[in-house]
Amino acid sequence: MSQHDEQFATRWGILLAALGMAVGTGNIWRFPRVAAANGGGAFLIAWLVFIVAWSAPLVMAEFALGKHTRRGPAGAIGHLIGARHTWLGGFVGLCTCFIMFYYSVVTGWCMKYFVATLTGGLHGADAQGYWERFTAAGAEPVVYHFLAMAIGCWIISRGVVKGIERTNRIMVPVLFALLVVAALRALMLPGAVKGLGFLFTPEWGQLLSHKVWIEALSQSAWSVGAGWGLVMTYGVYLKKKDDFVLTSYTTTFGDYSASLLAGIAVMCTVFAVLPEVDARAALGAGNEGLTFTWLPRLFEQIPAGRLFMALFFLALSFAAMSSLIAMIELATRMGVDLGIARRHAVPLVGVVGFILGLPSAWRLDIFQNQDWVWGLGLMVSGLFIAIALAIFGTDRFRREVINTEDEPHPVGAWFTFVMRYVVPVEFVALMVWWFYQSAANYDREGWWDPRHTYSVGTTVVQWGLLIILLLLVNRWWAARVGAKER
Amino acid sequence: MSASGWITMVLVLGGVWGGFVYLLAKSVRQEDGRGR
Repeated sequence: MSQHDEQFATRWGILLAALGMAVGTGNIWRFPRVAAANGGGAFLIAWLVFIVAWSAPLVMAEFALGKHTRRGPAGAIGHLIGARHTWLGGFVGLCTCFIMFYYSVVTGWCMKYFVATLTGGLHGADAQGYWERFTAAGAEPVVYHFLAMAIGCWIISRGVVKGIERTNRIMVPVLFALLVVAALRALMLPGAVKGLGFLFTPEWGQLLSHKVWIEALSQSAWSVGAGWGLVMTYGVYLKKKDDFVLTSYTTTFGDYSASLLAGIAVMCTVFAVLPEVDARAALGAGNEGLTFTWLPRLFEQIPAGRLFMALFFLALSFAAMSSLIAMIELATRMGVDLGIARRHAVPLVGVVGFILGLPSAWRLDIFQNQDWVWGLGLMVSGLFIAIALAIFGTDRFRREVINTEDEPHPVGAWFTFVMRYVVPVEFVALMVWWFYQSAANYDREGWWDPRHTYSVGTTVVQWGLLIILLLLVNRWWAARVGAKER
Repeated sequence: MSASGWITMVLVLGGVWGGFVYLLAKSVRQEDGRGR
């Protein structure tokens, strides 16, 4: 860390920044429908297991890596286990950068729908047609993508305390308040209990289904943001005396709490307004389908629905923006580690992020392809962090890097077990499952074809190209971040 | 909703939200203790 780097001013600032990073659109638009489709209460039990079996230990590992090395992902892993392994951290960081490119587009969609609820553009409109016209037009998604990136970069340009900490101090409490209001409003709708039934009634037999466990693990991994390198980046800005084990648990439980609030809000609204057949169709319409075509219709049909629609899209915009700024900070940190001055790195990230996000803003199929490739890439990132710890010595990492004298809540030996054995097994299960989904369900004919949106081929080719590139520049990158051979 | 649904709801919400509030309270105590 250079002597000019800022540090979080308060413990609250760290916690709210981590919560802002974790709570994103996935909590609001993915969790409810995945939970309902996979056995309700049974899914929730499996999902709870992954607090300790994936998310919390990876968040702890990331905080520790950032605080210990004072570098972003590539530099952190290069410093921990030696220069020749810098590319492992490079993959973690760049995978999240690729997500940032299209996540800015998603943030723009949320902002657009919030604006449309205020200006009345959505009121009385055919929601399906509105969404199709908006995404097909090209220009408008690009404008909102630009706005999202510009706002995010402006926040990051203000620095850690005035930018990240101050923004999250406002956005995160407001986001939780909005989710509470949305959940309470939905609970008061006649028939809301049907939604609760679908969310919580356990089909115990489903606990024997591997699909339920894989979906629960995927949801936990994507939602909490463990293994993305984002927490690692925020860890760089911890003070020496700042502990992080308690913050890691609080972040994970906070993310799960937000998911449950969103689940109650969405499920109760869907089942209160629609007959069961249509409700199932709405939940089966995918993330964008549920959020941008079904929910506007439903809000139109409930008392004071327009007000609650505005609040819902404001919450979604805040959730997206607080995650986007974490991604922009990660990209900026990687630039700073390479020797670029922060005041130059932020606009550079903004320009590159805007340009590389354009294809996803223009074409929905490109957006979907990138979401598929780099969303799965995060599982690889989680594995790479576990491998880095294994090379260093997982238990040594726990004893020397996490359980320092500044840490009042030392983590137990279970951490070593999970990172050394459970995370690699989960990675294999996830890869087998999602690649099987591609070959058996999403694209039976062209699962091998790299040009297809949801193919195994596109995933392997894009990851492969990134890894080859990283190996080619590994020596240069390691030298730039000051990683030494061990 | 069935009885098992209500019980699961109470346990899951109690565990997750209760856990979150407990951890938040613990963080507050720790922050106060440091006098920051």
